[in-house]
Amino acid sequence: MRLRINGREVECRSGATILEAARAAGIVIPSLCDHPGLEPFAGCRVCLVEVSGRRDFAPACATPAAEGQIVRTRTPEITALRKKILEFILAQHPYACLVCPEKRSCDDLKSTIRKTGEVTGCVLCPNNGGCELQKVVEDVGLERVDLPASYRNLDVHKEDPFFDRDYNLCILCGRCVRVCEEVRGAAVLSFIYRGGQTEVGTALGRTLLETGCQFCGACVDVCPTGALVERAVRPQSRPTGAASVVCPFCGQGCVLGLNLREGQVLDDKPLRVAPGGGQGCVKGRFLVRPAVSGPGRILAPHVRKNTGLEPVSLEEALDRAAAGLRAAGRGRTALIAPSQVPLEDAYVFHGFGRDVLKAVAMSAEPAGGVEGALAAFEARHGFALPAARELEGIGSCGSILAWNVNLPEDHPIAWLNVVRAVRAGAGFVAAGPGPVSPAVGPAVHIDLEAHAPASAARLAAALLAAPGQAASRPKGSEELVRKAAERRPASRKTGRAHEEAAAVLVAGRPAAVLFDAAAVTGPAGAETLDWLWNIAHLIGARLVPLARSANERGVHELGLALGPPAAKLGLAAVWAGLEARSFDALYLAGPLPDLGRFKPPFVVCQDTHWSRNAERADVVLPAATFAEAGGTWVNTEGRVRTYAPAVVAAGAAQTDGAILAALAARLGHPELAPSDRAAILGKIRELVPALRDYDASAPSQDGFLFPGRPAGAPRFVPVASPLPRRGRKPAAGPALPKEALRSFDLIAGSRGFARLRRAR
Amino acid sequence: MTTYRTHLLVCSGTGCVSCGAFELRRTLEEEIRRRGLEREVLVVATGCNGFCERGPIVLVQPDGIFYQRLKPAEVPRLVEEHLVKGRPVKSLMYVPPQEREPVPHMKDIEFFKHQRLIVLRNRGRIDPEAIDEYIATEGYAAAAKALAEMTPEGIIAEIGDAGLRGRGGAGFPTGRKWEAARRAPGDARYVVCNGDEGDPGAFMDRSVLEADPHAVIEGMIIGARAVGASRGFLYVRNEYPLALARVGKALEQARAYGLLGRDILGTGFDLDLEVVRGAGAFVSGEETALMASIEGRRAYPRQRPPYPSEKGLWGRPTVINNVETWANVPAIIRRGAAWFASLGTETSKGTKIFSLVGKIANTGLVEVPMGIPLREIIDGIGGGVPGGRAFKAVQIGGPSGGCIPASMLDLPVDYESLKAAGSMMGSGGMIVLDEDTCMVDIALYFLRFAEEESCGKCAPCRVGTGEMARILAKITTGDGAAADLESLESLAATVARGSLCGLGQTAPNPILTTLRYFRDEYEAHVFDKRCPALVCKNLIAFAIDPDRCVGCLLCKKACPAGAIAGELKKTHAIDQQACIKCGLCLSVCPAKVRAVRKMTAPASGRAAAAGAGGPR
Repeated sequence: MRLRINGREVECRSGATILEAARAAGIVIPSLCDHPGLEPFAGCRVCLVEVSGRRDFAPACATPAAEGQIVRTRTPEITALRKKILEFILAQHPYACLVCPEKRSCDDLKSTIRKTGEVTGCVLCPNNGGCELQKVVEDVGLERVDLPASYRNLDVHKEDPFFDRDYNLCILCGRCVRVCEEVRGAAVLSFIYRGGQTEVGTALGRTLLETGCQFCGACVDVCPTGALVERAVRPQSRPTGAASVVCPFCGQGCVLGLNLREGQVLDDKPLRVAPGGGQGCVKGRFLVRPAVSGPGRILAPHVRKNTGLEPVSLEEALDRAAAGLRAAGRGRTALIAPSQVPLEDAYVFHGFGRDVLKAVAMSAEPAGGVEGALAAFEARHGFALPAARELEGIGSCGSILAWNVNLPEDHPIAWLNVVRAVRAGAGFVAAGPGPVSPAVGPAVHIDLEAHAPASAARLAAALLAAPGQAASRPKGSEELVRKAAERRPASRKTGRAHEEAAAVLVAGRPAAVLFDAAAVTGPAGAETLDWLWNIAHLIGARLVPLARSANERGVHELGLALGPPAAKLGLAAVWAGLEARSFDALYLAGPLPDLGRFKPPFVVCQDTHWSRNAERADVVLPAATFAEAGGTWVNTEGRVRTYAPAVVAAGAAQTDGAILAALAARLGHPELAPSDRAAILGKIRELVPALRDYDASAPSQDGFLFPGRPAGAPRFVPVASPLPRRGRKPAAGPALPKEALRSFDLIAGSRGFARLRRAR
Repeated sequence: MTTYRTHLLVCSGTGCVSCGAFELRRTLEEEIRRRGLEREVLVVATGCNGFCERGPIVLVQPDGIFYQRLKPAEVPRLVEEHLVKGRPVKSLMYVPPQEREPVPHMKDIEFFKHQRLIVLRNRGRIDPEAIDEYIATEGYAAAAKALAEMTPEGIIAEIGDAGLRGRGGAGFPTGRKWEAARRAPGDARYVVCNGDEGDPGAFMDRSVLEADPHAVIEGMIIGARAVGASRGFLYVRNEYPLALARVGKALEQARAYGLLGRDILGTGFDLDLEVVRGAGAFVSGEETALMASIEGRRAYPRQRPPYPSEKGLWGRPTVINNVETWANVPAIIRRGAAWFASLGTETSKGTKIFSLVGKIANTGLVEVPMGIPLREIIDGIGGGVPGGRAFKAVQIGGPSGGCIPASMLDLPVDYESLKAAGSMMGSGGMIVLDEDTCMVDIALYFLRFAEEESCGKCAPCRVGTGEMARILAKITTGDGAAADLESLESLAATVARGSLCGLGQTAPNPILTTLRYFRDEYEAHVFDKRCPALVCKNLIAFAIDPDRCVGCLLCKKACPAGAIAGELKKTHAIDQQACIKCGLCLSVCPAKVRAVRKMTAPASGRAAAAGAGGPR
């Protein structure tokens, strides 16, 4: 589509607004309430322009561009009107600094005092320099405000974790309200009161914690002023550098843009790339700094001497570790490797365990997760499960089944796409612990039975019986009908939930079935997965397995390529070995419950943060965090990204790969890994077929997408699993903190996060 | 069917009800029973007659005798004299202002004589809670015709040819709106009745809903058929309990008669209507805000286009019309476009209901043909300004409208003329102002209203209305400067051009028209620190004329501030420092004495009271 803006021919896609067309052509139309990804609001009125064929001025943000349209954005009339409107906005915002003739020299001459109770000007504002009002004042060319300033003198909300809300600085652009409702589906923020008293607030003035806010920080990120500011950033000066990393806190792998100050992480925002497209979650938004720069880091190598652990040089620590490991009896060494590490380090861990330690027990919990279940399915039935793992597609589905998965907390980006679909009219069925959200509650909720596959079978049966389904029943479903019928004794407890769920899933096509390791691992996991596949096949749904931890998928693929390690056991098996005192030495680089009295004679702990186990270890080696190490990560979709170290490693910390290589050299294996991480990635690319075409030196914005495994001819699978025996619960293994990055326990590491999770 | 020799039509609009119409009706019924007349005389509760100022009203039919301001105590006499002895009671009849002889018949009363009833044709005539009475007066004949005999295109053409325009204020041609909604793509369509009447002084929508709810429902059935809607909403303010009750009852009855629901009148057409209660914000009357409110969201207006006829409720094509517009539809279908188009002017067809309030002898609702001169409404129907005061201006169109001065009284009342005069039709509120009204004060009243009712979404309206009100307040306290008049004009232009919805775009009208026609009053406030109408407290003073004062102590006793000194039979005096300008002394001073005078304050007196009426 072509239109003329200020006499210039501009081309844009059909459906674009005038503002979008102008932006794409590099023409500046000042605006405040508009934000990409949000519905037009047209409230600030700063983007008013003259449009051919219209008597009144039109807000560029809410006016669709049209073929042949003539738009003028800078006539004297509009400029004058825009200045007046901007004055109105500034009348309710401390504006003295914004129109101060000295504002340019102010930054140079005045030290910034941002630790202030009340913000009465830009120099006292935590968002000074990042404020969009400052930019718009420049763009509009406003030099004075004739209206008296009215400071609203509202109390600053400081009662919630992570960020403060100072509505004295709010210009009521409504971005926070809209992002919360339209994008996050939370709708905890709202406009309250009206006229000159209008404010942004919560229903009945409750705290955000009480409203069910997830603290994703989206409101903070879209706020154009200093009204919403991360509390920890408030007293800090402006950032001096930037870098980007892949978020290591869950399997979604959002790219975070870090703001740095003097080599430290100041704060971060999710970048506007796949999969989140600028959206993240509480962990990525507020926990990176404590994880990287917070207290509790292991900063130096330590060795146990008579008086306890003492800091020593890395050489001494490595020598001591090598000696201890060498002394261990043959076949009496165990390795706990971390799963949440870059591929480069995972590669070295694999070789270290198999070839150097010759460990008899290795665990990279929670590796095995959903990837292991998928691999087992392939082994069981002879074809790879046709999974569509890309997250954005969920948003355009007509109905969604979430099976025993806590989407908002564990898979926030998948959840956003569910929200998008539901807002567009999709039906939603949640089985198990349903997501709780004021805006997007489950349409139908299925209570899982004690034996979860029975619920899945019941749903399959209901789908087979659903009106309109019988006619289009795919081939091979007769057997399924019989099987499902076996599992279909009417249950008073579950009522008609399955039938209602079936109706929703049949009505909204295409459907998507979402699940993670919680549903498909454990004693009944295989049976559940078989049923879920049959359900998906029955209604032509896309099956979306969700990896729960970062790089789970990458480490799994790498493991397949590298061949089996010496011995790979689950955490429960390793723990059983520890209880049986089968090991002389333990190389502990991943999460493990407190060893306590089961501590083997010699323990090396290689970690980023101090833990009870590190304090019990004989040798402690400081590992670099994700931000310090850089490396290659694969998210649940199979999106591959490599990033450089963002900050210098704290203290004497080194990457896992470097530490292991140095130790391996002492143990007679200098060939373990190249010292250069790029060279390691080169080796990985040779080994992993899916990565062969991946070029880390030419990154694409949305990452390289792992080609999926070729799916075999999809068919219904027989579900062969014994009916559950009553009264026998599978032995529970040792419990790990649910939300942790190696030994950084997110709840222990962030008071705000602890408050949030406690509030649930 | 029983026939009665006499019907007593007791007006039961909100106005009369608040004056005791229900109690009056009970008393009438009891008295009639007591006299054994219950087989001869029937008491009927009707909708509003419009002459609210004279309530409670009882019309005796078939005689056509009009009784007004009836009290239950007068009932025995009325029944005895009129119903038993056949002698109408003169003392209970209406006496025109400045006259002595009562006018017995409704048709002879000036207030009713000049009206032309289309929308209000059933007012005071039928029981609004009885669908049979509506049907008996040709009710639902138009709906039957539209459903059984007309095509949707035919209906739209008829409405278009009639020249019906929206009665909610903007005057958009109804036929074009329906046509757009019919053509817009969508899987569902809706019809909505906007009954969120919020203009101060306007109550015609309430009256229509109370007096003839079936007319609105019938209009909506016809409209729904025309655009292909099968669901509709009546959005009625929660402050209108009687209207809500009657509409609810009417919907039930229509459903019971098969006029709503599935397969209406066997034509295969489905429609159901439901009532949504407005939550008390003026802005909810703005069509996009109203739809947001129906959807359960905050009543925030949104940018148009897209117009509701393309993307309305839940993104579907929606026809939203005002109560009065809907109520016009059955008459047009029943009597034809040509008949309707023969009424009114070239561009404004049909009639319009105005609520005549303020300084006017006959307060109430009047339905007049479009194009009637303003003078005829105010002097003819309204009976002019009472109390011998001079007419000054009439404020038309509520907070969005403007003040039209005495010099323009011959202005024909139609959409275009009012707009050219700087006002607008609005919903049809007419507030008559006399010489005791300060135009700056009036502008301030409306701006404060706009400021408080602004939804807060867009900056020009949220901040600009408050800013204009602040400057106006400054002027009324005598603190205005020459630059303030320029600021007002500049602010008004910014708010009018910059605001998102009609509320903000028209909020400056009260200022702009008063500045246009009464600039001298602003200048008197600003330059001479004088309020010509002697209204603005800061600029006036009360004083006692020593030559007239008889020392009766009345004012001294009345003064709440203790500002009056004096003894019995000695001249009183007002302490200007203590006086709070409440005017009580003036009102208690006996008419034959008239010693208290209101006047422009001397410059020194002003300073002491400065700030008393200042901005909040």
